[in-house]
Formats: sequence, structure tokens, C-alpha cells
Amino acid sequence: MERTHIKEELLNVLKRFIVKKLPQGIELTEDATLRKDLKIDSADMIDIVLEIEERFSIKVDDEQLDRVKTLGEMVSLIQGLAA
Amino acid sequence: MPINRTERERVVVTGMGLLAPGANCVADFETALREGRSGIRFWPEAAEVGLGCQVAGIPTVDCELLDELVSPARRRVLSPIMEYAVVAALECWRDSGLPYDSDANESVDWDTGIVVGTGIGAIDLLVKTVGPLVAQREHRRFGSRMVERIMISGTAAALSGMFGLGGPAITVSSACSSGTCAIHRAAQTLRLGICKRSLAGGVEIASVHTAALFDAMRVVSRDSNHSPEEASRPLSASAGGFVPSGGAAFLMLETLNSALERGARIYAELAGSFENSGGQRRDGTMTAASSEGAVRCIQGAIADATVNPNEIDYVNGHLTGTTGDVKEIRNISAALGMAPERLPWLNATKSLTGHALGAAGAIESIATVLQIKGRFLHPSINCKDLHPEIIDIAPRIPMHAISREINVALKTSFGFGDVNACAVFRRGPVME
Repeated sequence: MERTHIKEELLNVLKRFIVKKLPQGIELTEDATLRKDLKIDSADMIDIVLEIEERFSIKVDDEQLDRVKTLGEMVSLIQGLAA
Repeated sequence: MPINRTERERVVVTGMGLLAPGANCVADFETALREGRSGIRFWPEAAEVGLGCQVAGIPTVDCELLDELVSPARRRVLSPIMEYAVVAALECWRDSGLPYDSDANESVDWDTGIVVGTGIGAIDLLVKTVGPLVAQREHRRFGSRMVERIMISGTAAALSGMFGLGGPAITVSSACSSGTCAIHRAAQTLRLGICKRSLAGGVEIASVHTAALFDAMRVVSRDSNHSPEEASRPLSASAGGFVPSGGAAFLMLETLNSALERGARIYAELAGSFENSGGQRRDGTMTAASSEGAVRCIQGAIADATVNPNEIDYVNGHLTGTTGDVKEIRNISAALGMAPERLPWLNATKSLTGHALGAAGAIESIATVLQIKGRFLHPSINCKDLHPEIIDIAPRIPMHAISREINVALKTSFGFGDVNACAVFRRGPVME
């Protein structure tokens, strides 16, 4: 699956969950950290992962998720699992 | 805020909102009351699972309204019982004249709280979602938002978050007296100076799972499945049990001072209220009210309102269509010190709506306030064959809607557990 497409879908999911918390004008680059920059808390992460699993027909285990810190790493994880 | 005990805070009703069987809003409900229009219908789901009672009062949720007024993030996690409550609470809030443009604003209303009464809670979610996913070892699929949808305080929490409430946001559960109990408790927070306003009411989902529990007890109506509108028969000789229903209703209770300060419309005054239990002693059991307990509760509410029994113009009874109806009439008679034929006017709103359990007391309190303000009494339908043991009250039961000036009204509610809650509403002060 193309990385650009994955990133676009992922951003759609993230925006639904964190739009209220996102600081105004923040740029969603691949370097953006999930917790610090995008303000995704542990509760959000649970629901975001469920949504991603459904959208991409993949299964993410906790160990894989723990290693993901940035938006770019999340895209890479999805790309790897969806291949 | 200091508690001023020298002068009791007066509490008034400044808004109402409701979702009931056959009525999607308060105006529609008033029309239904005036017309004596039943909201009971045949219930296919009950027939499919083989319940004896196959009729119910099922409200209809306006999903488009919810989509319009509730943010997508919150809309996604509203459970069915919360949807009922949000529809009713939104109407109440806006009816009170308080501003609402969305649930996404950042301000906290420190002066307003909420008390929600419910008897059973989110039973359908437990049965249809939680149980199966746990059994399939798929509990991960609950995500982070299931707890708030299941917990008994979930509805109060959801509404508190929607309106940004900073007063107490609590849930009370006392079976079928929950709605009236919520009104009593909310009034207490106002009288104690904890807040100036409180949404107060009840909610209950119409569920075959709940209905099945009562069906097993054989306390629901089983002989009118082909004539649903005749199924709910409080006070009648042929009553065969109550009709299960669901709904939500909220009153905005407010201190008189706050209401006058902001120029709020006042529907009526909550002059007094009381709650107690019968201890399940003597003639009281888990499922039947103790006579002494019920009498004490009625008298407690009247005393709290500082009215005399002979000032009561009208009683909105608990009256479910079960064997408890006769006993309730005797208890009201004993509490007011009046022979049955000298009782105030009396009707049973459940004859039109069925029994919405935790929401019943609140739905019926709105019916009471509407009749005070509208100067009418709704008919108690399906009781032309009045029970022979209470035949003397016949002249006091309106069989069709009548015009009547009501200055003081008593609302009675009794619940499983031998628990009781009663309220007294009064016309005025400062009414349109």
C-alpha cells in the first residue's frame, strides 16, 4: 500500500480523535511526536488503534505499538502490517 | 456558599424537556395528555422472544436532531439510554432560556448541576455488546469509551460534559421512584446553596431484556397484545399488570432568586418533597410498598411544602396497573385524612405512557406541571371498569380531559425495595 495513501488515511483518523486538542496551526509532519506534539493520550491511542485496524484490516499488538513514537513511525508500522 | 437557614430557598421549575412514548417533546406530550392519547404500541421484539407482554411504550429518538446539536466526537459514544437523555435534556436546557450553541465551548457553568434517576441502566449494551465480546475473548474491541457508556453514572456524566456543568453531577437509583427522587435530591442541592440550578429527571431505556425480567414475575399486562392502547389499565378491575416503557424527562429546577434575576419563565414551584422507605416490614415487601411508609412519605412531602391536605387540588398517582393501585388509593386517603370520595382529583399518567421505571417520576412530574400551568386534568384512560374496592373514588377520576384550576398538586412515586418519593408542586409565584 502506498505510503502517501496510508498517511492521508491515518491523518483522517487522528483528526477525528484529537482535533479539539491540536494546537492551532500545527503542521502534521512525519517527525511530529504522537504524545507531545499531537497530544494523543493513552485513551485516545486505544481507540485510534482500533480504528486503524479496521480501516487497514490489520492487527497491531501492544509491543509493536510501544515502539511507535512519531507519526512517521506509525505510517511505517501500518505499511509493514498491510503489506 | 454559606447556608442560610433562616429563610428556606424557594425552588421553581424554569424549563422542561421530555421524550416519552408517543411524544417527542413537551408540547407534543401536552397534546397527548389533553387528547388522552396512548403511546403504547405492539412490540414485535417482545413477541420474537416469546414474552407474555408484547406491547410497550417505545419513544422515537430524532437522530437528525442529535447529529445537529451534538459534536461528532460525543455523538459517537452516546449509548441508546444516553440518546434518550440528551434529547430530553437539550429541550429542557433550551426551554430554560439558557444559551446552547454546541457542546464544544470551553466555559464551565459552576451554578448548575444535574441529578439523573435511572432504575436499570444500560442493560442492552451489557447484553448485546459486553457479554458477547468478553465471551469471544475480544474485550480489546471495547476501546476506551465503553466504561462511560456502561457505568450507571454515565448519563449524568455525558450530560454534565455536554453542558459544561460545574455543580454536582450525580445519579440516583431507587427503582420506580428514581425520577421523583432525582427531583427531590436536586431541590436539596439548591436549598443547601450548593448551586442555583439543576437539571433533574430520569431516563430508562425500553428493552426486551428489562421487560423479560418483569415478565418472569408476571407483573406485566399480557391480555391486551391485540389492543395495545387498552393495555395500561391503572385503577381498573381488569388491570393485569403494567406496560413496560422507556423515556426520559428533565425539569430545570432553579432557585426563585436566580429565576427572577435572569427573567426566566416560571412554570410552577416545587413547594416540597420527601423520600423514605418502608423497611420492607409489616405489609411492606421488596415489591410492595408498606402502607405506613407510603403514608409517612406523602405526609412528609405535604409538611415540607407547608400546605394543608385540604389545599391539594390534584394527585398524580404512581398507579401502575397492578394490584398495588388499590393499596395506593387507600394510602393516599389515609395520608390526606380524607375518605376516598372526598379525595382531590386523581389520575394515572401511566394509563397513557406505560411505566418507564426510573424515568416515570420525572415524566409524570412534567405531566403534573403541565396540568397546573394549562389548567386542565388529563383523562385516566382504560378504567371505566373501576376496581370494586375503590369504586367510591369514581367521581374524582377524570375519564376525559377537563378544565380545572390546580393550585397545589401532589406527585407520588413508589419503587421496588419499598422505597418512596413524593413531591408537591404549586402554582406561582410569578407565572404567565
